[in-house]
Amino acid sequence: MVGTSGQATAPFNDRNVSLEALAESEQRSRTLVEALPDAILVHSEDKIVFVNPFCVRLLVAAGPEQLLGKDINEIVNPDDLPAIRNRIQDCYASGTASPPMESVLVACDGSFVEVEAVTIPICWNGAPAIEVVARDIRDRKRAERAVQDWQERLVLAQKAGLRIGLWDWDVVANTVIWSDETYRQFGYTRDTYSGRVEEAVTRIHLEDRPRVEDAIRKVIASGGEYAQQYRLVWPNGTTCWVDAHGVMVRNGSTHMLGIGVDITDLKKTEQSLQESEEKYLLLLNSTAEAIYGLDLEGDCTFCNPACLRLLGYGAPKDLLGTNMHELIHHTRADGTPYPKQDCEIYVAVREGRASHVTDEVLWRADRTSFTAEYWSYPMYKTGELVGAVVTFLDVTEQRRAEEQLRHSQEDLARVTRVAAMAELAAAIAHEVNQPLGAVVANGSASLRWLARESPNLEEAREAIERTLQEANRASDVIRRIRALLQKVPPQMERLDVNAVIREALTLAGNEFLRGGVAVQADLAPDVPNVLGDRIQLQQVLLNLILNGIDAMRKISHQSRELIIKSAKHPEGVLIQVHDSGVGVDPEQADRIFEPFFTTKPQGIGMGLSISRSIIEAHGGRLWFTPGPSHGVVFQFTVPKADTSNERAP
Amino acid sequence: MSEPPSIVFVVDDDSSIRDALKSLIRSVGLKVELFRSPREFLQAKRPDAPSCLILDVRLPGESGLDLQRELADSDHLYHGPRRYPDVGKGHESGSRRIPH
Repeated sequence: MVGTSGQATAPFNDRNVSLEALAESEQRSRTLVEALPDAILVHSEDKIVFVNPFCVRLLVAAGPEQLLGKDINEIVNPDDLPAIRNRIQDCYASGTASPPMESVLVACDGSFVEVEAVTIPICWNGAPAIEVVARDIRDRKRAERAVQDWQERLVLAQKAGLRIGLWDWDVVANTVIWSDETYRQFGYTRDTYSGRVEEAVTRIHLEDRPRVEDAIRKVIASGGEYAQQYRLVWPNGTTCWVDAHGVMVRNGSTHMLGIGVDITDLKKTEQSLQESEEKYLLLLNSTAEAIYGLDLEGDCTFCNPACLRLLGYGAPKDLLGTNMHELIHHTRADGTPYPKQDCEIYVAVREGRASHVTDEVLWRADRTSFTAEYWSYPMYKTGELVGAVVTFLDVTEQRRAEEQLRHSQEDLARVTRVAAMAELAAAIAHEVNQPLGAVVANGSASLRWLARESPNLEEAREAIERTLQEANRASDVIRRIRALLQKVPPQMERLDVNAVIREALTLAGNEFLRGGVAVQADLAPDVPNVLGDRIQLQQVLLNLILNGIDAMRKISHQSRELIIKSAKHPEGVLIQVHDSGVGVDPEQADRIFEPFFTTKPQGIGMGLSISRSIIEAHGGRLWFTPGPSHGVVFQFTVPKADTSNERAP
Repeated sequence: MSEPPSIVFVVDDDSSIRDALKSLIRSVGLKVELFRSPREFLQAKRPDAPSCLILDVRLPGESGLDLQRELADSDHLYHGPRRYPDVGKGHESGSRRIPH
């Protein structure tokens, strides 16, 4: 140690003065060393010989005593020891200070302390020693690790599909630092981009550019946060939507730091969502069908212009939130109240079942009513019933037109029938009148020959013979007409009953339409072929189908439905025609197969009688049973076509 | 010299009608001549005697009505209408004297 003794002697006055100065200088150095924010440690022959107060604090020691005399091995992280040893050796050898180097020390409490240290070779009490000046870099390291962590998180975000680009713009130097993702977003590579902001800006969509440039200027001028969404257009025409956020950083230089997130997919979804919403709105607004929505209480949730127009309301607010049954559906066509619990519209909400009604009335704002056809469908949201959507039409005109059409068709049918009958009658009259005329003339002649004074028996006999001939001729004519009406003898062949049924359904297609009848064919694929006359079997089927349609003409309280079934049967094939019509009056049940029995004003009463004789001629049976809940099931069997069944036609 | 006996002409395409009328007319003592068509009737050489024509309406080729119209136009002795045997209530008859 230097100059710690304060002994002063007269002859050494000058020296005293210089000693004082020395002491003062040392005091200054000591104060400096102790006040330094860096840790200073001196070790000689690996033993710590000096520490400053900051070093005591850095290594969490109770005081310098705890460190002095310690081996430096004890305060160095074993991993760093070889490097430190090398450095110490270099220091001794070269006699110069080492460059700063990061290493990890072990504090007295066992914690690790990251430092950046410089080692300086000195002389301590005459012996070579190393002075270590160490700076605590834990904060910096923490910050670096934080940056590292963020980097890793960014990589993860990228992997998760979030495309986040980083950018750093030195506003003064006008240089930028970009992450790979930012290059991608702008459509550049590190080779194709000059690094100048002006060039980057050219990639921003022309429509967005002024807005973005404005925002940047504002942030540079007055700080705050920068947030803009804009389109970047790549040279190949691809558009990339970016959501960019940035802040101004002024620490010596002027930087704008920020991120840009690729939101192209989001924008596309948003756009298509908006487009489809616009499309639906357009549809809803321009359709002639009135549409409104109901919530679970039956209150209106939306309505389209056609709905307002048909109901005579001015604006959606007149309906929204209102109970629609009470407003437009409260009374039936016959003036009786329509209880809410019976409402067919509300079944969609109450039972989650669609309904379709064609003959109820809806009430307008002015308390008038109109005949409406409506459909009510349950509305589900993620599997849960949330309400119903109701579509309706004013069918007053349509019903009137249908009624008129039906009337004119019936008239036409009657006229046609009458005309056909008249034609047939005229033909029969002519054919039969000739022989009848001859019969009358011959009869008169024979009477006169006999009435003469001398009766001419020969002439009379000849006239009577001719009378008989002509009478036979007349009856021949009638037999011919009957044969004509009975058509040709049956042509028996192997037949697929289902094909015959399908043909008959096709033939009856118009009648189904006209009768408003829904038809359902329930044909068993495994029915055997039958032996029969295609035309005759079709005649039977058509007869039963048309009877069924006729029986449903007056039905309005339930759907008109005709079901045709085919099935295997012990006797061959069973065919059933089930209508939902008025059914058969039990008192008439045993007469309906009689010829000329009919319940129809225009019927001739031959259909079922002929049908039964056709089926019996085929070796089958034709009968009927009441339907399970309503209507009638006409059914017949036809034997299957095997060799034993084959008969000559 | 007495007038020649009256004669009835029958024009009908149906042979059984013709035969029946022939027998009936003869049974009351009148002469009868039969024709199958108006054409045959017009082309025939008819005797000069008071006569009567029984004409069917529906005939092949020229109809009975056409023949009646033709006779009415050409013959001042025609005393229209005639009876027609085959159309029920529509039967009409006429007689005419064939000119000397």
